[in-house]
Amino acid sequence: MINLIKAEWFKLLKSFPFRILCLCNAASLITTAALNFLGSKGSTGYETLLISLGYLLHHSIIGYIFAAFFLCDEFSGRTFGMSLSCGVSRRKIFNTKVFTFLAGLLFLFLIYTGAVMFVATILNGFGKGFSIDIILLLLCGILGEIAMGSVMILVATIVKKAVITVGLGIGITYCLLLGKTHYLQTGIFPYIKYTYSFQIEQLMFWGENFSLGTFLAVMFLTVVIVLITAGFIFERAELK
Amino acid sequence: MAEIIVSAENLTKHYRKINALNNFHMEVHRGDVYGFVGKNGAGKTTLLRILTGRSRQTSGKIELFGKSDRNDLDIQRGRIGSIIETPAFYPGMTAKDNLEVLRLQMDISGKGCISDALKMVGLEEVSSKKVKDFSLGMKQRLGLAMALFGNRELLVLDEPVNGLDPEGIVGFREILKKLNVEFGVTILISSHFLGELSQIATCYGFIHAGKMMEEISAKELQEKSESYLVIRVDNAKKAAAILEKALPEYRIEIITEMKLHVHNFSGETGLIMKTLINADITVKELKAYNDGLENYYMATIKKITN
Ligand SMILES: Nc1ncnc2c1ncn2[C@@H]1O[C@H](COP(=O)(O)OP(=O)(O)OP(=O)(O)O)[C@@H](O)[C@H]1O
Ligand SMILES: [Mg+2]
Repeated sequence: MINLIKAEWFKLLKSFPFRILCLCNAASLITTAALNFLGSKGSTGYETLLISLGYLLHHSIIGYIFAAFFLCDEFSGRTFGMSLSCGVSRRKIFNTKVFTFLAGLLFLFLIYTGAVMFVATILNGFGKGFSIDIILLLLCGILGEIAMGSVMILVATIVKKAVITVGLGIGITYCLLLGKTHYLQTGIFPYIKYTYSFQIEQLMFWGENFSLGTFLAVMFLTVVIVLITAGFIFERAELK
Repeated sequence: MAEIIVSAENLTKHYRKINALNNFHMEVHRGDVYGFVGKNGAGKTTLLRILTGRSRQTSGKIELFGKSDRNDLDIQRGRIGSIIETPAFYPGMTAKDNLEVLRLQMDISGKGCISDALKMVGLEEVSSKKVKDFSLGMKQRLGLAMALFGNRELLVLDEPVNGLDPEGIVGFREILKKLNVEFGVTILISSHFLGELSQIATCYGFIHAGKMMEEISAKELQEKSESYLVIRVDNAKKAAAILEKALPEYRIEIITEMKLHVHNFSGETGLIMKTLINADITVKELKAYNDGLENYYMATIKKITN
């Protein structure tokens, strides 16, 4: 499968939209850094990390755009047929796509979070002694990003059209966020607590009001269920 | 008889309300140029998509290179190059990079094969141009280069000459002939251009409403259908009178003042030529035609629809 991953990376690095996404990431990075710098009470590196993890869901916009050209364009450009004609099974095509997509998404996420934290640390110090806890927090962030990415793959595999994927994806994300606010205000629909979106936002309360067990269970279940469903749909999809 | 490399048995494909394929059977032997002919909506593309793994049959069995197990089929598809409807590629990448993706996926070492492939279809000059800026013919040729990439044993082509200019069509035909004759590549080609198809096909399959109506070799078809001679002369009327008198077994048809057709003709052109020249008629052109495929196909379809 190494050769397939190489081919995916080759496509990704040649891809114009991916470069644009990296640029967008850099632009939002500079904005965040500038805000931090201008703000009277600048946040420390640790606080910035917590905030950027808590706001991970807003990274969905970039993620869905990524899914749109990385997955949907292969459906509409009929290029999956190219891979099939290389003697590659659908399962392998799907697994390679998932692996590369998640790796690309993590790359975008890590350069963003890493750089924001770095800038804040230089300006205001890290604000906390280094401990294994911070590594665990970052790993949870990565797991959250993987869960988000899996949902993106599912939406793109079902919808197959770039514009609809982005629209629907962002719609779903903000509905989940609204659902959460609604629950916190009214207490109606408590099951929202067990959605990946709710749990990702909980990262902001790391070390306070945060249950690691619930977080891990929700993320693992989301990833497994969503990816198996997406794989099932891809196996049976009509490829043009 | 050569080995059967593609076979379909009782193949059925349902879309919600439509039966695109209906207990379909077919066999392609190694070395064949198999012409696949049928009306719009007959099910040609559906079959080719199932063979190349883009779609799955509702029921029935396909075999590629003697293998029918699902995992084996996936592997065997690595021996099949295809263009279905229009060639597919990454438009934002150059021709070279598109082939590089294939090379990486196929795990072929060395990049020499890429320039070889581009040279074969005459695209080496534009190898660094983005594919979205290609003309239709260039795209078609790149499609062929990609379909051929990696020593394919079978080419599956769905209406490959759509959009090609006359020169392109001739060039395409020459490449296919060369591939078939020199490299032994088997070709399964669907086309509505029957005249074009009859110049390369060694056998035909006629599909109608998702069913295989008939499989026939080019030789059998030739025997079953009539050839005729087209002659261009300075005076068609006079030439016709002379031929009718001298060779009453042939049926002569005057087409224009300077053109006539000779039917029921046995292939003996020398005698006709001699007769005309002896009678002082200037023969400008003399050529044998056989639109057997077209007539045969139309007759087959007529029989079915009646
Ligand atoms: N994805 C699909 N969903 C529903 N029906 C389909 C689909 N693809 C094909 N069909 C139907 O299946 C039948 C066969 O279509 P197919 O494309 O195989 O025909 P064809 O022989 O290739 O025709 P043409 O010569 O026009 O290309 C048609 O009736 C078509 O409408
Ligand atoms: Mg078709």
